[in-house]
Amino acid sequence: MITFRVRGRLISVSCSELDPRLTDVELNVVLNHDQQLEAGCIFKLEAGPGSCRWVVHLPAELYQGCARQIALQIKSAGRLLEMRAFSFVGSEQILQPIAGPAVVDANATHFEQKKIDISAYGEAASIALSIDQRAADILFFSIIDWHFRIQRPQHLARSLAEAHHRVFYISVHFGDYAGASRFRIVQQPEPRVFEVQLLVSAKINRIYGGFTADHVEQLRDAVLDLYDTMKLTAPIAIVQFASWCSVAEVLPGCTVVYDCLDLLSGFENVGQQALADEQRLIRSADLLVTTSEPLANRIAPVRASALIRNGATVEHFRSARRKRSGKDQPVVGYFGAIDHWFEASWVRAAAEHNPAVRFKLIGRAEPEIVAALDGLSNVELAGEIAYDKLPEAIRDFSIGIIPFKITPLIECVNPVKLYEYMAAGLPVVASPLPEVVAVGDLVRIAATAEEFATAIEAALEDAADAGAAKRRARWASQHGWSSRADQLQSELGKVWPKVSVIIVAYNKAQFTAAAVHSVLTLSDYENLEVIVVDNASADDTQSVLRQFAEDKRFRMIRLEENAGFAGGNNIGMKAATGDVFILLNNDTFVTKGWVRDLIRPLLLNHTIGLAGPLTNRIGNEQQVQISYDNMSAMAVEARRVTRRYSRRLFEVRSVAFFCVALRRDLYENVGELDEKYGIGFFEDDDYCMRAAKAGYRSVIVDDVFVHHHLSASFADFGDERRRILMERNRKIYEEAWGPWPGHQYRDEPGFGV
Amino acid sequence: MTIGSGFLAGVDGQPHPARIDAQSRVVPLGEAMGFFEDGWVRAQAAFSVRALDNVTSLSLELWVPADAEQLTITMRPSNAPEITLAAPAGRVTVLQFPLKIPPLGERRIELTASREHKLSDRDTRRAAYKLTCIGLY
Repeated sequence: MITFRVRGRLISVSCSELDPRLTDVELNVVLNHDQQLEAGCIFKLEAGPGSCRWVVHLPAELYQGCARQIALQIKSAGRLLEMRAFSFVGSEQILQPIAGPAVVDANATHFEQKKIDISAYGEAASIALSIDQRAADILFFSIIDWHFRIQRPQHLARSLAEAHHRVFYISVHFGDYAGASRFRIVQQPEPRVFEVQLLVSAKINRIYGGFTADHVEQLRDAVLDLYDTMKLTAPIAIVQFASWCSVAEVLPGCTVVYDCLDLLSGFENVGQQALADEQRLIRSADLLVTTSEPLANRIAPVRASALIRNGATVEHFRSARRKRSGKDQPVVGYFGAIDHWFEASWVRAAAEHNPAVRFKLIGRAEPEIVAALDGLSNVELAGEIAYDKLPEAIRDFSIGIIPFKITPLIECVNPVKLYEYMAAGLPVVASPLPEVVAVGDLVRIAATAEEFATAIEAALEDAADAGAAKRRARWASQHGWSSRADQLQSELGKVWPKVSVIIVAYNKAQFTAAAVHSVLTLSDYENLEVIVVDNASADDTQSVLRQFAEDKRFRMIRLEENAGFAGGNNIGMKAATGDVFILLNNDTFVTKGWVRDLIRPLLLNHTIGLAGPLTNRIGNEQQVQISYDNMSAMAVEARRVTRRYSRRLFEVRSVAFFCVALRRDLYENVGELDEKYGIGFFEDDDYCMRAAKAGYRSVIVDDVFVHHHLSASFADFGDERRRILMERNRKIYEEAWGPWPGHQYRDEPGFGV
Repeated sequence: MTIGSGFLAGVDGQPHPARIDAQSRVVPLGEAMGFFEDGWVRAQAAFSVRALDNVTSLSLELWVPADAEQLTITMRPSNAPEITLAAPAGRVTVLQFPLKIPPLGERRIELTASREHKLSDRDTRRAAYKLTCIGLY
């Protein structure tokens, strides 16, 4: 007995009470009495003995508002067992990939559906939303909160905000999720800077041990809420503690920067999970930044990095400058953490050696350091002093010291306080940290307690030298935080190459227009060109695409004869000026941020030559189980699917060229698509095999989804002509590469049909 | 989900055996009108639902009695334009309409057929078509 249900664009068919001995039961779908639905639209599902189940994708041609006859024939060895027929009438409006604002604007959809009260996200949320953006949005996934000791994270965030970025600074402490908003903007400490608290139902006490899988899921929910609600564009995640990477990388089209501040393994309170996260992040970040040359050298065997050292807020410390005279009581000063790396024994020896000199140490001191300095009347532990009061607090300093034990951690440090002492014009005495030694004769280096005491005496003699103080201040002014932000922006500008999206079109103007529209509005990618190669369409493709003529990213090449899929793409690639090409069918619809996520593997690993996305309809491992009825729902469903597979790649023999990214160097090495495949079919399998022969791998990028209508241009061909073309091209392929392995789906829940 | 006695209670006031497909993303609301218990539907019928998820289409599986002409059915959801599709007479037909309901959105859906007849000399009820399934996906 046959039963069926039409659900969206699918028909579920089941047949029960079959002879269990029959093993070759097939479903044959006949449209309008004589038109056989192609086998690629019919997928058999698992069922119990004596029953069979299938899913049938309804072709677009059924949605033309008129009645079509559909016959479901159950056959075994060619023999008809059962049949059921019905009429189908689908409204044309079901197929509406052409975008209205709500269709393509995922943010608008989000607001519409959730009816968000923006004040639920904190008082400053409406300010954040109203900011007129000029540069990409930046999220700081830092290691400290904004009002903890002011260091590189806050300085960089402030400087980037001054450079017209909207900055969201994520707190390392979390609030309770109460079922509504998943984040809260807790304050706006600087213009364009917003401190954000993520709201979770899990208890996350501290981030330094790394996150559990449950934490990651909840934090992802929170940052995606931030992404949608704040309408982030081309976001840049600056990750300063590696465990944040699993959270940051879920943001669509996000540029992930690992700003490697220190040698993570040198900290005692960092867990194994965090260390493992760092190893992964070093390889997967779009941009790797280190703060010192020794740190860069340590990481270099794995990956090269951009060296962006620390700096000073020169203006802030200018007020600490004063004319020092020989009559002042000499004060040896220090500010910063007074932790286990602090050479307390050196300070003690120097204090005992120079009882007339006052030692003023500002910062939270660990108990063992306090004990080590106990009983010295000329040593003052001033405690933590707020950053804005620091210039005043150090006005009595004669010199600044950096007495650090040389451990692997410290060897890699580029101390911020060096720049700040210098900005205040102070002579500096420091342990032989490589980054301080490299400054040259503007600082004094001491490798032992004796040398330290001697260097302090010499530095105190320099303190009244106004000329030397000016030289130090001038040096600091060359290393301001704004110049570091400029450096970072310059490095970011080099991350993403120019991308050429090539769309070969043959008729189906509305599909092509929808595809182009989606690329132009959802790519969120600055350096982009879109080339449509019109394969001598006989419909209104030319006039329909004229709507994009004013977009400088758009170009159209009109061919007088149909050059086929391979020929059209070859013409497009010849005309392309990008370093990466994306060949995209005209019956596709992309998702927000897709370009960066799709091309990332090609940039991070040069053995990967071809990368394709997941999709709803294709006959290979790229197909996922997903259901939606319009492109707005597609965007929501696609994200639900892809967020499970963040940064995951799946290596395959070949990817389907309905959407494929390739680097220009592969194109130059492997050559053009083979045009002997004519109108189409098998040229993509052939190209992947040629790429593999040249040493390039093909991968599916599991966190990118592109909707594929499938065979829009071939729909008018008719099944027989299409079958003949497939057979012909299959022969060509098999002569070159041996037996074609056939359509294969992934053996994993959620994949296949 | 079987339509309960509170839903699709027909003009005769009796519960209706037609089903909302179990995979539909809706719950029925309030009273329906124009549906008979054995699946026959009058030319004017209406029902209300609340969506539990995004709903984008409405499918009606129905049978139109043999006639010289096809039967047109107009679907008119509250707050949205109407759409008309034609079902051939004498056949089982699936009509699929676009219908957008956001999660937790509520809609009253009116179905208007182009004609109705007395079912037979013995069965004097007037109806337009026989409904076997309503699907909202």
